[in-house]
Amino acid sequence: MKASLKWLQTYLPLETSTPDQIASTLTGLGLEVEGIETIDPLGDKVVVGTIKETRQHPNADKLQVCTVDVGDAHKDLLTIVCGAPNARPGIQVAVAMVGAVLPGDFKIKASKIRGEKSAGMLCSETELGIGSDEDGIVELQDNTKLGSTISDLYGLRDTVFEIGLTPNRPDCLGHVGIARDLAAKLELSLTLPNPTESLKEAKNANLITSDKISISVEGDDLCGRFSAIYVEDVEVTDSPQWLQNLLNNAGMRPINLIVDVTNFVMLETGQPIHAYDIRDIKGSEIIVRLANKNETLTTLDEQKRSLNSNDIVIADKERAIGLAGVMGGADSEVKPDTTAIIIEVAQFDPSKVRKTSKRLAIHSEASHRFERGIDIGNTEYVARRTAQLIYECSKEVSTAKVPVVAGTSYDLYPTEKTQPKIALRTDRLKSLSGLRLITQDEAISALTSLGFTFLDKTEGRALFEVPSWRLDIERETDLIEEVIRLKGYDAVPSTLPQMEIGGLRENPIIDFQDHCKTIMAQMGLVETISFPFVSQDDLNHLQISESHAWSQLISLANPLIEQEPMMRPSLTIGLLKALKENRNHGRQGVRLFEAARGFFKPTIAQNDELSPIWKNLSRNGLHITGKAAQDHRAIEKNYLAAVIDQPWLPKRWSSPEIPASFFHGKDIVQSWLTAFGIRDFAFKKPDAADLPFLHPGASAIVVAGNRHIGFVGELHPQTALNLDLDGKELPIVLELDLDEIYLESTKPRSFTGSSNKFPGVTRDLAFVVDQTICHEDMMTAFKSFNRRKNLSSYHLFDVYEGEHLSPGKKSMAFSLGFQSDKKTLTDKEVEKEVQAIIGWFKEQFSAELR
Amino acid sequence: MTDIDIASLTKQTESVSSEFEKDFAATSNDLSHKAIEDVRIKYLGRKGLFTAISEQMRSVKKEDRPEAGKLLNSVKKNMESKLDQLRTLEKKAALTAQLDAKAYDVSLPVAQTAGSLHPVTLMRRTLLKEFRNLGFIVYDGPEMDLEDYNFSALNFKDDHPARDMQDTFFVKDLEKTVLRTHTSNIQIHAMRNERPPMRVVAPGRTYRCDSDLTHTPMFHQIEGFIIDQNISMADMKGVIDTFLKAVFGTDLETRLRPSYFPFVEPGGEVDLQCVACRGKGCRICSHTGWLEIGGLGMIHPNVFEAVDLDSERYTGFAFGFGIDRIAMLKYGLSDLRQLFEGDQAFLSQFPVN
Repeated sequence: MKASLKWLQTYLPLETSTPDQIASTLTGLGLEVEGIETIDPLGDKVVVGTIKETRQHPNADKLQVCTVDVGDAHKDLLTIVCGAPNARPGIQVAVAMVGAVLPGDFKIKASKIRGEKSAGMLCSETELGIGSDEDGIVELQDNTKLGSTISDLYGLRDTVFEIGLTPNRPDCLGHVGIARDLAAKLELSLTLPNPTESLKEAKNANLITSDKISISVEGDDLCGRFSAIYVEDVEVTDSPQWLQNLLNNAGMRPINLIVDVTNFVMLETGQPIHAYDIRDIKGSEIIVRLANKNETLTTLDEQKRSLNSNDIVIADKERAIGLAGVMGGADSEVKPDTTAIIIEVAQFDPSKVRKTSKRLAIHSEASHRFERGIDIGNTEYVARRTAQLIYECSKEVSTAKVPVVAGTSYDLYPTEKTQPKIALRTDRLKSLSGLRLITQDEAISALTSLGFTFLDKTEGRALFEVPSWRLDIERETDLIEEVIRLKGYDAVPSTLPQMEIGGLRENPIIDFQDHCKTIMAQMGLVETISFPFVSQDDLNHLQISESHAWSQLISLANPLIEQEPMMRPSLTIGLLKALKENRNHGRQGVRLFEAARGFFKPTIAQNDELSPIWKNLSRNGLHITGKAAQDHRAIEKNYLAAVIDQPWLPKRWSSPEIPASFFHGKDIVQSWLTAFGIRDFAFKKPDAADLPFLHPGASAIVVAGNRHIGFVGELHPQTALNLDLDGKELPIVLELDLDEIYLESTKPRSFTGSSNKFPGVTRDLAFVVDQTICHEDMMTAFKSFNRRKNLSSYHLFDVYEGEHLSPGKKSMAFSLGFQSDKKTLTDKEVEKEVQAIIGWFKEQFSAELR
Repeated sequence: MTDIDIASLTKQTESVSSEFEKDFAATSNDLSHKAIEDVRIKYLGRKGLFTAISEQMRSVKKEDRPEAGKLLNSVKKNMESKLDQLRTLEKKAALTAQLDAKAYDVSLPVAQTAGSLHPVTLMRRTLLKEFRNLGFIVYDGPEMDLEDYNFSALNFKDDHPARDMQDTFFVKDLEKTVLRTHTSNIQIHAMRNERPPMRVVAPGRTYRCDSDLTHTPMFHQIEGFIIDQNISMADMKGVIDTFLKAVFGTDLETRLRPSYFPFVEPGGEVDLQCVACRGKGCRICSHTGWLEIGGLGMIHPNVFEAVDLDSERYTGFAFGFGIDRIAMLKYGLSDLRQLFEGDQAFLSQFPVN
């Protein structure tokens, strides 16, 4: 809402305050001033001067060369060529000096006109934008001070406050509302226009609006009140300059006198007004009704609108002539030859107006106000105020005819609204605000100054009637805000709450996630945060098939980018996109991670087709607790994912480039899991259909107990190609289910006591086995070795395939540790156990010693 | 077996000793573990020269045996002590060699291994730390929530323009579900799960259908609220002041002004004096001198009633700040969108802690 200071000053005396002070008062009242604009259309280079002498231009019959005195505004007399017939010595004129800029961005420069120098211009009303007289230059009164600015003389300067109005204050969508708050705060008296007095002479008592038109409302609640007034003998012409200026300053373009006045009164009262040419109301009947099926209406903006049965229309006998509360119809608007009008001031159902306005995407000044709610108590007044101003403005611009206003207006107000009455308890005011010393009298005085009617009081309790324009006041707490708002939030003291220690427990997933991030970062990864929106293309790039868990995602009804309507199931997608961006910027060895949520439809739990790897998806995240867990709502899973690009280490002075491989990813996952004390997990070969975006031979699912807690792997070469991330070595991705891992980390674990006092012995054994035997198989065999006595550790230190081995075979070399907690082992004892192990592996895998 | 006399024994030991001395001298000049061991074996080993002499002991005449014993002992001792000398020298030499072997250019680069946390994560930590100091606990809830939690229970009436204050992403596939437009939905979750007294903060991702220089469709807020009997607006001011001073220091002014959020009444907004111009007015603060950093207010009785709490008995206040905004102010960043572009060069400059 743009509020003009000049406009506000017509209702209350603000001369003693500077614009900055007023702005800060408004902000302090909750009418936040977001910007202050100074309006000065003529600047200080257009000043009052007097023509000292004139002489005929030597080369042009119609031009005169004038010598002009502008007093202090310029030290020398100015020579100005002028073509106006009324330019003559002795008159006071408006002088645009060199450097002035006139309306229409007309810059005044020193020039030569037909060989004669001219240092400025003598201006007409139209050139100054202060009137419509263009026949000659302005002649000012003799006593105006030379050199003073025309802006000051005509009061053209204005300050406009851009107010960021909150939706609870529709009363301030008009200057009067803003003035009312200011008056209350600054303790100034408010003077509002009184149409009754000045309408006396404009009214014809025999002219009755209901003779001209009948009004009816079909259906309850569409229209709370409909006031109308008939005005005849109007002339559609330009409105007075002052009105045009104020409209301009408040951000509206002047159109013609009738439309300008309706706009002006809207910006004054906050109440939208519509004027119809009475000729266009067929059957002299206005009907407020819901639109018919398939009904159409061409609105003022020349758009043909298809209506539905939720839209309220203003109709005549034959057709809709306006979209109620949103926009008028094109064929009933005021036209150049309009002579008689019906002024409509009404209240329409805010919710219906809002739905229509949203559906048709018409956000008009009117719909903005009707949606928020208008002052139903004021419509009849506004109708008369509009008529009054049409009459006064017409007289001011001397139209040929003088408008005549109907002596009786039409006011359809079936159920008069009763204003709420609310009690304010002084104790409650004190305890809620913390203003311990505030009195009942202060509260009464604050509220009455804002227009509340004080009805009654008992000790500690005062009763008020809410003014009809304050639709936001519903209960006691609203009154309390009004009192504190007027007193100023600054007046509220600052204390610290005295309260019991609460017994609430934190949701542990919050801290857990934070620790997860720290450990990732400590391992050299860089945290990123990305948007969760994904496209079908993204899924295609990852080769996600229709049967995959990621293929049925939650979509947004109104995505920001049409192609990205879905909510991500996984963080991998975003990380790969970020990786691509980084590569485009020439970054190498990128290592990004993110911890965030993936989203799934609740129905995924019923999908039996899904591979067991996605079983966790049917369990909602740990942050969804209590009552919410029983709602039918989306599943949100907390994930942590990372992408590691090539190379693992760049070529350096001390070592050649080391490419990143699956095992670097695995290393990160393992270190990360063990950092949380999780040791019981395994990396298993995935079903390629579950992770179609990973290299089937260089990827793994991470399993803890019987739960799948994540995956890690090199990117599938086809996915890499799709994403333009291809190369000899491919990026590594990993993603972990934080909810599952958190639960895993809280499982009780046992720890071994003090270390063994007796020395240990190591032996190395290399087994030759089939290539199909994996490390995990060997580990399982070690674990299940049943003649185990002193074997205390075993780890793989070499894998070999190739020369000296039969095809299809590989050698796996293990380092075995033997230790007893009772004695120092002898070679013989160790040897015996080694032989038993060799026997065991032979039995298990036909393993031979190499 | 002939008896050997002392003279013969002495002669033999002298000869072996003199050879030993030669070897000793030679080894001293060319120390190595192996050379020393070789010398030991040559003289004291199983078939060593000295060992051979000492094996004659059994053949020495009975009366000469004590003297012979002494002699052999002293020769052996001498040899062992000389060998020890050599060992000590060898250890010293090895140390010296190890020391001499390295004289690095310590300015040579190493591979950087430290990662980094996102500035929003760092800021979030700082905020949580300050709130925990003030006795708050941290709560969490869904990002995709029912309209009831995001709007209705928070006193946003159906079809009211207040809902337009936040450009909402609506979820197509689930009924009455939105991406939460603010973390205020956590108020409802917490109030439906717990009973007062409550001191709760909840940081999280929030979404609005808006994207320009100063808005991203996803951003971070931190919500907080205190509910108990007799909580006043003065308490709200006290807590917010304490918190803001802890985060921004004492030299920047803050102001509280009335504003409107449906779930609080009285409601307000907090402005921080512009960190760039200190209130003079600049581009960053749109020439107002103030930066809006959060909204707050006394919890509306309609909200208490929506969660079945007695609005006469309990009062409380709630607040919400933009974490991204605070992080930008704190770290002196000017481009909001940079936070979510994933540029490693930008992100990696932040610390892990």
